[in-house]
Amino acid sequence: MRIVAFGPAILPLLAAWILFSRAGASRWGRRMVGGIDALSLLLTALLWNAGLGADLFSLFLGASVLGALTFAALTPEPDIESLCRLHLGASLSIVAVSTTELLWSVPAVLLFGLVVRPMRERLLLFLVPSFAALAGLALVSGADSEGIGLILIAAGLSTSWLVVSREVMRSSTSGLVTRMAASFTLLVALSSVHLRIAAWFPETAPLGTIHALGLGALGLGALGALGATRITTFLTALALARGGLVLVAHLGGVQGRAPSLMELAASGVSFLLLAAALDKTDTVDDVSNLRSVPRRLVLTLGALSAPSFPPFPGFVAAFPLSSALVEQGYSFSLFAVAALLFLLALGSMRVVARAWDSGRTREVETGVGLAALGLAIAATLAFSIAPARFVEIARAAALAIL
Amino acid sequence: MSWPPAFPILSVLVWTPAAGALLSAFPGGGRAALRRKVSIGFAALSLVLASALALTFYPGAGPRELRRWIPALGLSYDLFVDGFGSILVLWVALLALLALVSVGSRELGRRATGLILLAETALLGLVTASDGALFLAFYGAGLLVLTLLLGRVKEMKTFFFFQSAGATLAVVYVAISYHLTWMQTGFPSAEIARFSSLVSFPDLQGRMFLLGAAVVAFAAPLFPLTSWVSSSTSALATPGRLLLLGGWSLAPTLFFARAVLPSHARSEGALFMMVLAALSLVYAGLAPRRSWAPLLVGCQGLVVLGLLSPTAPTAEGVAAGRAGMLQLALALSTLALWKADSEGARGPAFTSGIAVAMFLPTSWFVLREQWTTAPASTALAGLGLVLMMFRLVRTLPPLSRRRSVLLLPLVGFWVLSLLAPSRFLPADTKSPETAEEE
Repeated sequence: MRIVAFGPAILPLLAAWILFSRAGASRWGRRMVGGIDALSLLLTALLWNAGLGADLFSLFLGASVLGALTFAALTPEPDIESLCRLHLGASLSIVAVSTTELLWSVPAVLLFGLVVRPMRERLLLFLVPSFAALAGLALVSGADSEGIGLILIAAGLSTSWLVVSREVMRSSTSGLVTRMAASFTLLVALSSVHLRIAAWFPETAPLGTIHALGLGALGLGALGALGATRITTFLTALALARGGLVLVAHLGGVQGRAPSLMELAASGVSFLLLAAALDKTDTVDDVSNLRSVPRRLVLTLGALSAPSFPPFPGFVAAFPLSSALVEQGYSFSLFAVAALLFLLALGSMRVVARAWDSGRTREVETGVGLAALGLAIAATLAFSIAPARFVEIARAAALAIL
Repeated sequence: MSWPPAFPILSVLVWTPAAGALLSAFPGGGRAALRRKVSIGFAALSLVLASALALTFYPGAGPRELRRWIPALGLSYDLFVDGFGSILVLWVALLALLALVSVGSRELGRRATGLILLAETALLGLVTASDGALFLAFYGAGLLVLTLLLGRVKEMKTFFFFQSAGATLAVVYVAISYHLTWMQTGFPSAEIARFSSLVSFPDLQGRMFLLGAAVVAFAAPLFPLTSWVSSSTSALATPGRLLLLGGWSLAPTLFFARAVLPSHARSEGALFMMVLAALSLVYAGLAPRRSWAPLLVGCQGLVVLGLLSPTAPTAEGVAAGRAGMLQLALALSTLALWKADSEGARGPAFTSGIAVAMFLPTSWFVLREQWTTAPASTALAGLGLVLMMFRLVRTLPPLSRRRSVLLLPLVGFWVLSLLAPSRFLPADTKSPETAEEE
């Protein structure tokens, strides 16, 4: 096993320990946790530029996880335990994205599901796909059953992600940002496994399964976003749709890897901004009460990034992604994805329109916080105004998958 | 005269209104007069810049700004104006200024003021963008701004539904063209001018044309996709209505004229599109309700027929189609100013004649051109046009003195569009002087 981002994986464990101890409840303890997360993000950036032969693919995904973690740590979170679990999960996620052995990455993703939220009555529903994935892992060691094993891994992990994401969103004690960060962190781990499978086994990779899972998740998510009345349902649907889009991007072969990573990072931005802007709102109608203009602007940015609507984050990835899909013979899927993203845009607009409805009396004055404003400005710069550097980073990471 | 390369005139022009939107957001609720002054000042500055650009324009030497936006993906920050572009930027700048001065300071809040200026930036960007991705970025931004300008949830959702359907199809169209460019030239590019040199099979040509036509049908709109127009225009005050009818109505047809027609003008799908446009005119003439939907749809039908005229592949045909686009946008803006007028006002009777006159040159060109190739659909279109004109004169309210004054620049601009036909020629057409020298 080769773990190249070992340092960044250790630091979140330290942060989790601080949160678990008595110091976690104090203000300075929280600040220290935020500082540790930011330090691990900085360490990842240094590793990228150090020229130590680090695996750029792992570093890109690790940085995405740590970015979400830092954002969650800088946002007020009432439930320390959830934040602690998120840090443990992020550490496992970094292990999953950093290893080139399925024997380590698959259990890491599954363990993440168990760590990030305690399962109770839905434990069976979670365990069935998990065991399917483990069975696939056992089968993959036998050369004859490689294809079946890969299909089981792809299907099992995706279903696990779906179940865990839903469970995470159902938590009533933790803040929305922590929940969405957990969902995104798990998505990153899942994507890394799928991308590596597609890259390692180009002949036997379960592209049909990934195709069906991707389009299915995108469709379900788009329809869910259109019909959701509760904010948690809406965000779960968006997360599901973005997960589906990232999976569909895997079909683009070698050319589709960089757009896939760009869409993955844009998903993180969208999730976190939406979570920050929609915190303390229960239903979609409650959005009409938001008064703070910055908060509504952040909400608009996050909501319209979800369908990669021009010119918001994720939009520029549409060109290489479309090209890669057409090149691999998935022209019909391109039209299907466009139609489903259109539905997702309509679902997002339901929320944005309420936020800017001029006929309402607005009561909720609470702002969105400096962390969300900073992320919104950084995302606008990095994804829309001057995205050249970001695209180069994603391409370098995509080339390093093998 | 050409602009010095160091001075980015196009970027300054495009982003000046956005800067105005930012600055006009600062004066609070009690300082509406200051906000109005700031916003009108920036809109006037844009108009001055656009006028300077139009006056100094020389065929074949239009200003261009080409910067590397995302080199790895072949996407550029590429702004360019040809003769038509120089007229359009002038029109957009004038329209935004008219929108701001058409109502008093108390009637226009901080949000509406900012959104009008942002809409101007988006429209100027649409007119000048030469890269497909940049065009779509401005298109999406303009769509969002217009949606927010509506202000009511139901209207916003309806407008966004149809417009984003058009925008999604436009993204797919540009993405496929991007892929074809990549495959055929060996490097990625979304430059709109390259799309016309792409080689593709006839069945792909037909599908791409229909894809581009669907963008226009949803966003322009054409019959029967009209259900958003009435609700949107009724939700908007005069400034927003001016921008929607006189400015945003140009966006889908501009996409059609610049990205689709040069590549797929002779496609079989053109006949289907012409029938749809003729039906739009018939709908405009026969629609029972007095609303904006029939008028807008009729105008867009006429524009599409003009763009698809049998002489459209020639430079003169392209110029005539473009002139029709602008003249009908002017006619719609005139009507937007007019219809918003108070019912009790008294005005000169000849103004009804002005509205009808604005439609005449384009109508004459379209019907004359189409008659030779498709007499049946032309007869249908002609019938719809006559009925529409009749209804127009019958339903127009009288005009107040203030609105008459605001009407003057529109009429002046319309006259200018008739007197400067060479401005509408495509960019690659040689100037008369160059042709004579050769």
